[in-house]
Formats: sequence, structure tokens, C-alpha cells
Amino acid sequence: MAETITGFDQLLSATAKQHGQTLPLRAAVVLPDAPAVLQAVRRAMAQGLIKPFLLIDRATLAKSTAGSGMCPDEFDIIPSESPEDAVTMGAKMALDHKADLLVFGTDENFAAVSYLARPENGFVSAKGLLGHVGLLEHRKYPRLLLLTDSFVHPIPDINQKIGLIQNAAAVARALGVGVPKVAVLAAVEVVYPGMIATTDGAILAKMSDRRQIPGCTVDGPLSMDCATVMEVARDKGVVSEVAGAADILLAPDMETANSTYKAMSMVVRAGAAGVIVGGWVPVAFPARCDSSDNIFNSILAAVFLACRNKNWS
Amino acid sequence: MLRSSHDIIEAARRLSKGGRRRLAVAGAEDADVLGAVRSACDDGICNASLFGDESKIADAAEKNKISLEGLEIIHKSDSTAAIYGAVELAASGGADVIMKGFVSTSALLKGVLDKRFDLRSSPTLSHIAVLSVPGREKLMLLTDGGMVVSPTPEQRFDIVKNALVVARSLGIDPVRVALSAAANDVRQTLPRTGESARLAEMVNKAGWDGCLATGPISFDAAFSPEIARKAGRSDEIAGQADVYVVGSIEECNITAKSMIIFAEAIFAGIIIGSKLPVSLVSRTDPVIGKKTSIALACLVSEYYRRTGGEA
Repeated sequence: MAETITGFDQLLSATAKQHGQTLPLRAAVVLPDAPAVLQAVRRAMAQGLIKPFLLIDRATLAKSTAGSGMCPDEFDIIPSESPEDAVTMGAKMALDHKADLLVFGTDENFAAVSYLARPENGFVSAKGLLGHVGLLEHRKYPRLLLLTDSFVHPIPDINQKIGLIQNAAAVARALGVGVPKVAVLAAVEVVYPGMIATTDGAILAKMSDRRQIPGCTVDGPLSMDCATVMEVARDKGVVSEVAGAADILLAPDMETANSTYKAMSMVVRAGAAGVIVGGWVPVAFPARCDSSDNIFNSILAAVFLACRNKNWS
Repeated sequence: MLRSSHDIIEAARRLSKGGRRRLAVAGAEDADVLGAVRSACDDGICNASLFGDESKIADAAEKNKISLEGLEIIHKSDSTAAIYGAVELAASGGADVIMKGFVSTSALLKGVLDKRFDLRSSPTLSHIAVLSVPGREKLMLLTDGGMVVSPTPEQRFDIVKNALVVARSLGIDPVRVALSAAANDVRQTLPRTGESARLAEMVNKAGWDGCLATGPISFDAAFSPEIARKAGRSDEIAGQADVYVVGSIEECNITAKSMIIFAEAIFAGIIIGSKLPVSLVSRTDPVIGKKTSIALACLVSEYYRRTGGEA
């Protein structure tokens, strides 16, 4: 078993070391909308991680390079007729084994997410579930903190929450966390029947106790501080294997995850990466506020996960 | 305009120079509560009346070497009596601010909302977090992460009005209010986006001077001018929000705590919607946060005194 990956530098070296012979992967870059995205793509290309194809319409391309001093000619471009067309083409390239991963720009394309999430479009199987996983690195936390789901399911029901946990747990295990600890977040760490976030937390925790959610340890409800700060958990008398040591945070809804991810990336300035998993190939899906570094991290995380897919198949 | 926790404490000190504010502490038998009250009194922010079990208060103070000098102690043998003692003192004009000590929030609110005291000023009581984030130019006001679990649109409207009182107490003018959603445009698949759009319009038409609202807007576009531009927002609020009104208690609570834990933001929390603000922070919050909450509540009480709490 390789050592656990606790940061993005380590993720980069592990990707090169474990998967050097698989690289570079073919990346369909859908609608790179900003210079920061192209910079991150160029960096990933220079590091030998990806061979990118830009799927983009002329108007978006002009916007994404305007004033950046970047020349689009250094990339392979597959012109599309419209933004919708670019999304459809990207998904098709993945399904046709012509792309190993997708990379999205930072315009938070909800329409694209809806397209990918619909089983009839083939990117996700009828049994599968798409979910966004944010990876967060901060000096105050000894491991990568995974946060789900900021972009796919507005108000996940309990079954979808199980799917989101399993998606994130698969990412954590890929990072070398044997049995990931999952905190089901709420505003409090006690159960109030009127607060769905707390009752869902209790249900998921008990399902985990009964081994209905294999491959991880789930506890909830936990407040953000109980999930991530050992002293607070102790002070509040919360006895839990997960408290203070969470690998994965399951937010009660998309808005909570979305604001939290953005607070972490933009205000806290944590190292961050956003990926959508559960589909045919991993998708780098950064937020609008992600820096070029964090966009690169998103590509890196998607590459790492895609390499593992490739090696299994 | 106050821009940090330090500014809030200094403003409360200046305010107290014209006569110290009085704090009624419900349930003072706790070392952290006593520490914060002691520090606030020493800083010249307020005087305090402590309600609770006298011997337990003395014990907690002695064990933690906190002087009780100059603090009034009013013995109450149980927490309900401590709550009613504190609320009664405040309602009768003997205190400007109530502080939640070692009592349950729900019991305290029951006391505050007891009709006999006539303290309710809004149909909705709400909690607001005032965050002082290192490196940011302005305070960040987030609401509601502590009271209303999943607010109806009507309650969110009240929450905005309550938040305005706090923003004005901090000298913020105009007050830029951002109504949250995950996306920056109205989408059928995201119900909150439509709700926030309608609320923004209601707030803008409410006739509140110096209040500008926009929605739906995501967290990053609300607080960063650069992201607001990227998101194609050109209004006067996007990127410069003072108040972010979220959709659920969880969104507010978890987002705020992320910044408290990882960005070392100082958090001051109060409950508003009553004629007297209630300082409400959690036991585990550090002394500086508790002290800032007390100072913030003093400023809000002064605003109420001057204006009657009108938005």
C-alpha cells in the first residue's frame, strides 16, 4: 500500500511515480473560459500530465485569451458551434474512449452538470451517481479534507447522500486512506427531529454501524468544528471515531457545500481542487473563485483518478 | 464604519465613556463566560450583573483566578430563575444587553419572548454572525446560522431587516445585502435562485434608505470584486457585500465555522429581533469572540435606543 497522500505536491509526485507510464492522459478541455484555466492547462501539459484538446466555440475562446498574452494556437482546438455543443462533444469523446478525463473551465456550468448527470446521455450509468468532491489542503489540518457535493445535487435525499459518500470515499481510498472517516455535517452535533440535516446524519451513522455503507466509517450529525477540531469535540463531549479527524465532509445540501468550498478556496486560501466523480471518466470541475493553482490541482486530481481507472480496466 | 473586531471593541468603549452599558448575564457559573465578562468590564465596555448560583460562580472564578470585583452577583438557584432574573432586569431598563451564559439557548429565548416582558420587535428572531477575517477590509455579516433552521421567504425577509439593524449599528452605509444561492442566475433546477431573486426585489422595494440588495448570488461573487466581474455582475453590491443572507442554518453555520477554524476569523454572534440584543456565542468560542459579541450587542442596543430599531 502506498503512503497516504496529504497534499497536492505529494499528489503530483505520486501521480508521476505511480502512473508515469500511463501519462500523459488525453484531456477534453470543455469551454476553458478564462486565462487562469488556460494557464493551468498549459502547466499540466508542461508537466506531462495531459495532452489537452480544447473544445470551445470561437466566442468563448476569444474571451478566455483576451488580454492574457496567451496564444490559443499552442493548443489543439476542436471548434464547437456553441457551448452546449462543446459539452456534448466532450462527453462523447469520453464515451468513445477518446478522452481519459474532462476538464471544465471556471464558469460553473450548471447546464453541463445537468447534461452529464442525466443517465440517458450515457455519461453516468442508471445505477451510478455523479457527485462533486472538493479536496482541501490546509496547514492546520494534517490530511486532505474532502467536501461533497458543491455542484451536482441541490438537495440530496438519503439515498443520494449514500451515493455521494461512496463517491468521496472512493477518492479518499485512492489517496491511500484505508477506511475514510466521513462526517455528516449539520449546524449542531445532536439530533433534533425538526432538523433534517441532523436526522439524516443519525440515519447514515446507524447505517454505517450496521455496515450498510461499506468501506468507510460514517458519523453524524457533526458540526464543522466537531468534525475537524479534536479539542472542540472533546470539549463538547462528542465521542466519535470521526470527530476531529474527518477525511470527508458530507454537506447537507449543495448550497452549504458550495459556500463552504468557496470560503475555503477564496477566503481561507486553502489549496483546493474540485472534481466530479461517479461518471464514465473523472471531470476536473473548479469553482469560479479557484486560482490558477487550484485549477491545476483540479486537473491533477482528475488525472490521478483517471490513471487509476485506466490501470484497472 | 467599523471594519474589525478591534474596531467594534473600541467603539463600545467610546460609547461607554458616556455612561457604561450594563450587561445582564444569564447563567454566569462558567469560567469562560466569567473570563469574557471580566475582560469586557476591564476594557471599559460595560458593567455586569451576573445571574446564577452564587457559590458556583465564586468557585468557577476562584479556580480560574478571575476576580469578581465590581461585578454584581444576583443569586439564582436554577437556570430558569437566572434567565428570568436577567431578562427582567433588562426589560425594566436595568440592563442594555443580555448575554447567554451557561444556560440552554432555547430556555433563554423562551424567557426573552415571554409576553410579559414585551421584548419582541420582529416576527422573526434571528442570529447574525459578524466575522472579522484577517486580511479582509470589511466585516462579513452572515445570517442566519444559529436560530431559524430553514427560513421561509417571509422569514428571510425578516432576517434581512434584523441584519440591517446590526449593519447600521456598525456604521455601515449603504448596507449591501446579498441573497445567497449556489448559482448567480435564476435556474429552475435550483429553487433558491428564484427565491433569492424575488427577495432581493422585495428588499429593494421596501423603502429602506441606504439598503441595496441583490440575489441570487454565490458566496464568492458576493465577497470578491474580481469574481463578481467574472460572473458578469455589475451591480453595486456584488463583490462588496456586507451582509450575506443564506438559505439554511447549515449553510451559514458551516461556512462561518470554516473561516473561524481555518482563517482564524474572530466571530461575534448576537440574536436580534428583540428590543434588546442577546449576545450568543458557543461555549467553545474563545474569549476574544465572546468579548466582541458583548461589544457588538452594546452597539446594537445603542442603535435601538436612538432609533427604536427601525430599518
